[in-house]
Amino acid sequence: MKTTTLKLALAGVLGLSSLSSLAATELENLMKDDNQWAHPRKDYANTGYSRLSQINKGNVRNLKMAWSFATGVNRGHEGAPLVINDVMYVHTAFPNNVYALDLNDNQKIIWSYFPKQDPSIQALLCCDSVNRGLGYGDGKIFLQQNDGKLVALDAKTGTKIWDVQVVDTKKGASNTNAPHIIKDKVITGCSGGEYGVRCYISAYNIKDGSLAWRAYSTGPDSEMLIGDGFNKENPHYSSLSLYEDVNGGNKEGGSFKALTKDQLKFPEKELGTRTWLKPQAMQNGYEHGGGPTWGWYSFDPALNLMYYGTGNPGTWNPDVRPGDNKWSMTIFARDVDTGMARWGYQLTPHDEWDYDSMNEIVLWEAKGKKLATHFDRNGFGYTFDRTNGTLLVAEKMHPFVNWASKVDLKTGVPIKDPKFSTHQDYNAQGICPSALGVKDEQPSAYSPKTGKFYVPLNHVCMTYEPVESKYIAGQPWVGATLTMFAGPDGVMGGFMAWDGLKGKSVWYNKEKFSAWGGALVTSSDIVFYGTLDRWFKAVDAQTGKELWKFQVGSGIVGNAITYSHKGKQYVGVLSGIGGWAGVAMNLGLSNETDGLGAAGGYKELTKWNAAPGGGGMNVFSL
Amino acid sequence: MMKLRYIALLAIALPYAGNAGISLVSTIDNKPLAIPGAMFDTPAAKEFMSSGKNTYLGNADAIKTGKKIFQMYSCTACHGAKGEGAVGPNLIDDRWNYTKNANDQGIFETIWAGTAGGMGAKGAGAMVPDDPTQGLSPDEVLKVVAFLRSNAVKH
Repeated sequence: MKTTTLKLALAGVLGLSSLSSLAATELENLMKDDNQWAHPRKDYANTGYSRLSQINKGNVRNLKMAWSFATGVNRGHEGAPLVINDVMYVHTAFPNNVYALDLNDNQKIIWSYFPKQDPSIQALLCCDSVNRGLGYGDGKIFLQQNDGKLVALDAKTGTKIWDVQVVDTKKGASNTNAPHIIKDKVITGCSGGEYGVRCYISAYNIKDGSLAWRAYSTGPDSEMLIGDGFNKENPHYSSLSLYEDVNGGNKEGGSFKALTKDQLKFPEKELGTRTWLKPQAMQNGYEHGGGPTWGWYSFDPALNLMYYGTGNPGTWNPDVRPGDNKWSMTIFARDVDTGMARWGYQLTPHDEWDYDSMNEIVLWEAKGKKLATHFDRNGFGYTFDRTNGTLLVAEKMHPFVNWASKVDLKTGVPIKDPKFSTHQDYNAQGICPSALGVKDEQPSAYSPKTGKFYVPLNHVCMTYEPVESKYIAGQPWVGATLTMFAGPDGVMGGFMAWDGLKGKSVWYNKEKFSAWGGALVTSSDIVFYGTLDRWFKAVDAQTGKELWKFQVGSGIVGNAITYSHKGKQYVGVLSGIGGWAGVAMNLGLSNETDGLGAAGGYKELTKWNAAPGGGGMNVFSL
Repeated sequence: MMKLRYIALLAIALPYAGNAGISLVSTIDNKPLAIPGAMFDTPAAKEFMSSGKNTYLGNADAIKTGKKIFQMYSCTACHGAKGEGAVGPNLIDDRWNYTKNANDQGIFETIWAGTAGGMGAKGAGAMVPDDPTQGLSPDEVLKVVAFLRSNAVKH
């Protein structure tokens, strides 16, 4: 299996090398051109940073809506459009329609694409029928439909060039991620952590949609593309067991004590199977081990490494999957040509709270070091040496994080607090953060000018009760019930600037609700982001002071972008409330505990939004 | 195909309730539901088939078991821990996507064979077409309903 994949990958690379380098060059040039927004987070490094500076602190108060575009689709509009050579490509929530708008002709529709998807697919989408956007490369627009189909469309005409089925919806898998074009590959993920799907990340050849490589999140090393040299500099990341059981471990009253470095046994192989200790809920737990990969993928061309995170192990009931459950909750660095893993670090071993690690990894440099920073759902902000995965910083993003006291930098293992360990048929109280995380998918931005990160945040805690549940292919397999409520600050969200070297917030603003929209930062030191109560805001990157705001039609869960057209700078954001935070409202729920517990705290959203949230693109200029 | 033939054969061989009983229809298309009569194998299931009444309502043991089943089949994923709704509709208020769900026969039909709105069939033989051993028995459906009704909130 592995050799075939590798041979195919090699053949693909050799056969297409001349064409692919052209395609890569075109996209890389577009990324460098600040008039464009050609990649989901603008560049390979996932910065969400633009050098455009026409809109500055002196004039930002004069921003006016330039135009808007209603998508005709309701519910959560995550992600952002692409802007390439005076055309804006807009995607929608399910059924994932695509519109190409001509910026040279009053945003007239050049072409549109309407996928035909079975409505029952919506039932597979745990957290609203979202889609996080499009990819561009080789003259093609790429759409990853919710039903698992990856489609390549001619960017000029919208004509379908090829399509391929990425995941099996019959097994409960689906897709919500944006396809990311890296060199001559289309990288795409997998959703289904709540359906017992064994997820993977896939690379398709941009020319014809043939599979270049696929790496599973769990299972044998050969299927995870883990080989020699993996975790070479940090062999302790490949330990068989990071904790010892206290009071029986996986049962009520039990907990897990982190081992010290001299107690760890490493390096070990085949951890994707061997850290699923017996007895599992299923015969081989890893076969339904989850590890979804629906985040934002970054890439370092010099190292030829791509970075992404994996999500929760299946099921949410930790007692029935003893062991560290590798490689769920892991950040991987992989060679983008072969898929082989260079390093992998598990952030939340043996997860007990649904703290997925699929949030973005942002690449940056400081003090001559190649770094990577990641804000995890588990509430810690991490900075790594991205060449080899060495953990440099792991600090709480907010003091309310209580499931762990700290991360031991020597081992990389979080020191769990036994008080917040979760067990079957026991309703654990007061766990912070909630499963939504201190931050979820809403991406942060990084400014090389200020050297700081700008991070949208949740401030929500939870109760968590694991329960027995039965795996049946294609059916939900959750295994816990939870309720969510506002954190100790008395609000449900926040927004902060973060120093990635010190692991400290520089400034912190409270937000009434989760800030579920992705951030943009510009070289004029302005940060843009949207909120669930419909505000699109500009704040000062140095101080967090609000400089401007405008209220759009529905709550914002999309990412802010900027581009310029005919010499004029524009900023824009999708509106349309939804996603995990807004899903309850979209379904018209109003009880305290509605919506995976989300509606209770978010109940007041109904005072700010019509439901379901209507999708739209909002564009502003001076 | 396999499944259709299987169920059709069973339905012919074991008609489920005779003239005196209720007739069940699918919430999706209103067509008759072919559930083998032998599956109504408890006093409560038999009573339901003859009168449409759920004798488990208010029965503490049945409610407790119903809760377990509700969790076991991850109904909680879409409908919340108590049926209060999450990504799927609220099942304990008085607003229904299908008004018949307010009565015991209606909600039984909806759970058994699913809806066109994303809810998959949960009845044995209907849930996983090629594996009739998966899914809820009629008796289990009645217990789940008893659990949901016990959580009902009046607005």
